[in-house]
Amino acid sequence: MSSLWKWGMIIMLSFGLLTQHQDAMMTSFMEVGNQTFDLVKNIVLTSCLWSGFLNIAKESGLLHRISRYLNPLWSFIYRNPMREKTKDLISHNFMANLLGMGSLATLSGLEAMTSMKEEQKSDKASRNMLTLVLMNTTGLSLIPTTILALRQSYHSQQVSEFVIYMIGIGVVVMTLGLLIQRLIDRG
Amino acid sequence: MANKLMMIYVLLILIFGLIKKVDLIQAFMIGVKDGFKLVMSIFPTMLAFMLFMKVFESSSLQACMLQYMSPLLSWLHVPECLTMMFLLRPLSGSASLSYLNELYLKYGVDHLYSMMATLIQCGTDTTMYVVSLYFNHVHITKTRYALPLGLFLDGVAMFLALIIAQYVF
Repeated sequence: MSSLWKWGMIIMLSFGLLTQHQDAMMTSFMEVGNQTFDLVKNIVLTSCLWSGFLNIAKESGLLHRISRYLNPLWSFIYRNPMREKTKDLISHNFMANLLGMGSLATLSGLEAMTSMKEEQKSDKASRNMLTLVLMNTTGLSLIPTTILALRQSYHSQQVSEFVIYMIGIGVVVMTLGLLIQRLIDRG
Repeated sequence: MANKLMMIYVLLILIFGLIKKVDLIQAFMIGVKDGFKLVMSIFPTMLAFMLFMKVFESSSLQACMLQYMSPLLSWLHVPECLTMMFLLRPLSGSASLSYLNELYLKYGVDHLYSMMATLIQCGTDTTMYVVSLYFNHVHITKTRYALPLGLFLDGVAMFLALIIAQYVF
């Protein structure tokens, strides 16, 4: 990832200079700080709210109780042993993704990453981390809230027909990803 | 429907906390504090990522790649207007969403191209964003196969989206 950023930036800046796009690039430099701040501000403020509720669920033991049902699945998917805390967070991340609660999923996903990182010292991604990221990049979801609302607003005749195929694609791609990981990573 | 589920979930959390005698407002505020710390750490990552996206667009490299990708994709019978969707989806969820919106306006929300783009939008997540956010958050620099595998799976998901849409809609 970091080498992509490094070389990408150098190549793009050179390409832009060669094709005389320095003005456009400068404008984007000036705008990007503000735009990022707006984006992060939105994520932060909503996530704080979810973080609050998440903490109640944690302290009351609800989170652990829910995740117990998913634990057999995790010991099958995640090859290396994990702490209970990590498992709870992974379950929560997975469920939030399924229900289409993006910011809640991000929050518990990031906390799960922190929890995994506490168990290791190296700066190399562990197999479990890669599995978690893989589960999140393939983005299996059951309720695509944003898209459904958008389609509704255009008075679509088939608002939600695509959902079943979307779930199909999600399941196939996630399974494929986990299979490939199993083949290439024996760690 | 989704909103209802969400509110029921929150209510469930509160009731369960009540039964277990958790000090609700205290626990909530501690969580908010943790959340603030947690998410504040994502600003550097996001800035680096957004800058990358912006420069990609403004240096005209994006337009250039689009030009070269179109013939290749049309050889695979992919409509030209979806090339942009292919390029944007792994990079930025909001950019591809606004492009999806444009397609809805241009072709109508139930048009075949719109359905293809809808499935592309929903069938996968923003790989580049997720990979950089998750790993940077815990200062992992060696991400190994996360990115190539994620992008490959995006490709598979998009391919499936096209095929399915072709046959169903």
